[in-house]
Amino acid sequence: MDSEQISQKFRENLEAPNTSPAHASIRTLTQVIEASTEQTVQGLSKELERAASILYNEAESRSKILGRTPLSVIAGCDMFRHHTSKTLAALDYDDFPKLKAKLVERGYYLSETRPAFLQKIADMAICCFKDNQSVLVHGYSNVVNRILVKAAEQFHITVIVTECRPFCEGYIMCEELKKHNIQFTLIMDNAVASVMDGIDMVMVGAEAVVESGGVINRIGTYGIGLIAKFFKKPLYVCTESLKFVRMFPLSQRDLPECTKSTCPPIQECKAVDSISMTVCDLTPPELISLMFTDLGILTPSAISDELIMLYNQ
Amino acid sequence: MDGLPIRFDNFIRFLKRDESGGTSEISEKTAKFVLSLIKEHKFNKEEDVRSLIRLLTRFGRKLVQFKPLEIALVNIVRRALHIIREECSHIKLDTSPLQLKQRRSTLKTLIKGTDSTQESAGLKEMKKRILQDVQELLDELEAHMERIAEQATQHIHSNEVILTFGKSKTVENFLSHVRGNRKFEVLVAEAAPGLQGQLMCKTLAEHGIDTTLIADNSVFALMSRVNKVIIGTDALMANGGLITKSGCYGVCLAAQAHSVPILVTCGLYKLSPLYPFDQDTFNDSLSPALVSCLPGAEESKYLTISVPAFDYIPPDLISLYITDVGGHNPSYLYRLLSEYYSPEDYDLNS
Repeated sequence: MDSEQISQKFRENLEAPNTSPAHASIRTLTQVIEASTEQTVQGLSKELERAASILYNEAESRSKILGRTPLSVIAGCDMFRHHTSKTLAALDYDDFPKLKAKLVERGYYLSETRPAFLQKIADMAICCFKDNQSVLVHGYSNVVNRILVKAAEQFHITVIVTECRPFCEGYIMCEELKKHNIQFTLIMDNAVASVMDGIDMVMVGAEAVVESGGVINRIGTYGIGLIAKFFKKPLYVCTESLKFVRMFPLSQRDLPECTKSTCPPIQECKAVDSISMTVCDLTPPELISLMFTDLGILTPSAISDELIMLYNQ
Repeated sequence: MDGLPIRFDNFIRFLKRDESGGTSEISEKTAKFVLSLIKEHKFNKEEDVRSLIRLLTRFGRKLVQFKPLEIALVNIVRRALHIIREECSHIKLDTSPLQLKQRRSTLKTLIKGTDSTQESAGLKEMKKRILQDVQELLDELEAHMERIAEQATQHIHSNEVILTFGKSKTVENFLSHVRGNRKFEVLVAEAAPGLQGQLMCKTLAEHGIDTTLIADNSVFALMSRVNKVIIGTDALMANGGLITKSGCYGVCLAAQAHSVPILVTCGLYKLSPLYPFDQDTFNDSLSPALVSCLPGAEESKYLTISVPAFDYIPPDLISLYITDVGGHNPSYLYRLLSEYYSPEDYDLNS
């Protein structure tokens, strides 16, 4: 496939229902393998490497509009490419077409796991709810949304939604909650501290989960985490394991370049040309109480174990 | 099959009568009962294994019903179930209500898929292995205190002042293991309203340890002189938190305020795969007679007496768990979970 075809496929896969950038990128890589005419391991690996960088560029260009960083694409591509190279290393025992077929099968399987996993996460997370609780959410996350909908079927809960500037995903969250008749209040991002004492727990999704167990998520999550810690409220991160990424940022400055950008000022002002806009921040593991993932309920320290087990063996 | 539920009842009645034992004794008895159940079970066809799993699950549910707050007790059943399920997966016998595909619990198996290169063996052979493993579990239960106590010399040093709360067999063994070698002092908080600390104090003194009994309300005042807090626990939760006798949370907070490390001695059979989300989920109310001694007080309708049985202690207060397989950090416990339990047994009622 040439690069135009790959981007085209990726866009198609992203549009499909029940998918995420990580799933869509794995699916696209699978399609690349399927269509590939390469006869050697080297050739196929090269082709996948090229495809992964095309996916990354595509995701980065989309991020300008949607505000979703390409981090989960990196996570998905890395995992699948690692799996590919491990599988192809067994070439001595098996012939090439057979291994390719195996990879394609696994790739399609992985890219279709999302609905089952969302269900699984929601089933697990339900145990932390009770009647008359209020939950603070930040940003829009499919996983969090799913959990809240499920929880609202059994319990009476109130959701406090932050606006989540600059992309204002809080509004999407509110629309979804309205659709399911869940009681909610929309608040401004800077009102979090003032409402925190009435809140029972904070739930956020993740753009990516890094090796230290920290979470890269919408800007403002770090602040909310600090406030929640101060008020001794639990912070739960709800995410899929395909978003675990091999990075070890030690501070906010270590986040990849794609999380930073600028935008024009909202209010007319001669002195200001642009607003420096960081899209994501890093919430360190100390602030996270538990993670609800499809692998089970994990403590942040489990993340590095999972990643090491996957990549180092 | 029909005769067995009666045996459950008999066993549970037997547990009810025998109130004297601590958690470890009851757990041992439960393990013995489980072992005898497996021994008597037929292993002729694959269906028998599934019926055994159902049987044990039912037994587990009964135990929960009977002693909802002896959280450790059901763990024995969960461990036995895990042993059986592991053996079943060796011979590729599907026992799980979940699909086998969903039974993976690591990122590696998710991406790679599971290997399918296992030899199959006979069911008779399997029964032998299961019995052997459950017997090992029983041995582990019998030896756990000894194994914990053996580590005591690494943790207790000369001239240290150690504070403990209430009565715990494990802590008692742990402390008495060092007594000959080193001189140290123990403060025992009496743990009102049960006042088990007074018994603890007496036993420790009989072992020849310098022991001082203190009232619960002086714990904070004395904490500045304490080098270490060592406590036992009723259950260990999956997030690394503890369920202990009420009053212990206060002791831990006092220790934190003085930066005193808190060690918890605990057999691994108390590790439970459940998550506590607040103080109420795993709690019980004790009889108000324990605290009320005002004559006529019970007649006043404005007076409420509340005696919660347990405290939930969050994991960030604990410095170290000393278990029969060594010292562990609270955040490490999740790894032991997947080693000892199968996810489908976490909630036996589902």
